[in-house]
Amino acid sequence: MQPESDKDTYMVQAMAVAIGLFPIGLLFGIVAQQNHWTWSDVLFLSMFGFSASGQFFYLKLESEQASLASIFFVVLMLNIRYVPMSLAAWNSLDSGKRLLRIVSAHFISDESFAIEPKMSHFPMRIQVRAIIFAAWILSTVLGVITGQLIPSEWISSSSQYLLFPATAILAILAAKRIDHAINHNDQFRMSKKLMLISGCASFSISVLYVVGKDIFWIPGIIGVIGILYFFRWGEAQHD
Amino acid sequence: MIEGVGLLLLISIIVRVIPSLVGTSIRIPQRAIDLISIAVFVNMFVYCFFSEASKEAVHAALAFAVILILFRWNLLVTIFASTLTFVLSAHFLHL
Repeated sequence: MQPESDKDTYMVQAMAVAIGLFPIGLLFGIVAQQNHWTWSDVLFLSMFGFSASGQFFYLKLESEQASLASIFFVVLMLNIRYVPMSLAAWNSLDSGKRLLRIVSAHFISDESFAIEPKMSHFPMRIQVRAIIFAAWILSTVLGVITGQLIPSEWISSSSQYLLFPATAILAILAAKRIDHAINHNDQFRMSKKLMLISGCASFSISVLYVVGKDIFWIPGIIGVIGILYFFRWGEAQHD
Repeated sequence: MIEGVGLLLLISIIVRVIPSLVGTSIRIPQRAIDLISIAVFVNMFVYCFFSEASKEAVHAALAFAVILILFRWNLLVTIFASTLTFVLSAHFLHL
């Protein structure tokens, strides 16, 4: 049984994460509203498509009229990190709760995975996930309502800037993840790691120019994986 | 919009629900996950930059410079600073 004090600690952490996510959710709602989404559109997308970066990317690609196949591939690749999290988010105490596992698996997020203790009881993990899930839905829907309160002349005069925060969030998250990967690789010197990542970015830019931004994702991602694999990135660490 | 809900739900089922049923009976090599993650994020950063730079090259370059300087700090501060840079440069720099 989990001690009561531990439970309180995890709940406080979940609430802190929920508060931190709130402005980002609000921003998503505002940007979605400026793209003519209703509060019910955003409610359903946040409930059934729960994935902050995935939703931002969907919004961005959809507004640029990318094909559904491109959006599917990109968001799938973006969210592929949930596979190992979902594999690892259960313990032996969870057997026999198949339906609950199916439903609560959908609530797994980077933040909940970082907070919930793996060996804790199922209800506590569900509570952590539910707090974050609820905060995200509430903040995105409130964002739509907030967006409706912004005067339309402000919107028309600033329409060229409205999607930039969504782009900035994705770029910052990407930069953080790349930085994390660089810092956690002790196989090469820093200069070699930076050269390698710069080489990958150069390859990606070249592909983008050659094939265009609608279809560059698949060759871009496969090519970068190939470069990293060729230079044996991470090989020593995972041997 | 409905296709967006369906698409993201389908992806959630693929990456979260199905693995949760599999549990720990299969093991994806950690190195494969790491390489995919880096590749996705490198391409994402490049895509984000060029999607903005294709419209406003100088303003996007300035805003992304702010991102590269500040990204280790607080997420909201970095979003705010980079957006402010983008807006102010678009407003005051007429290149």
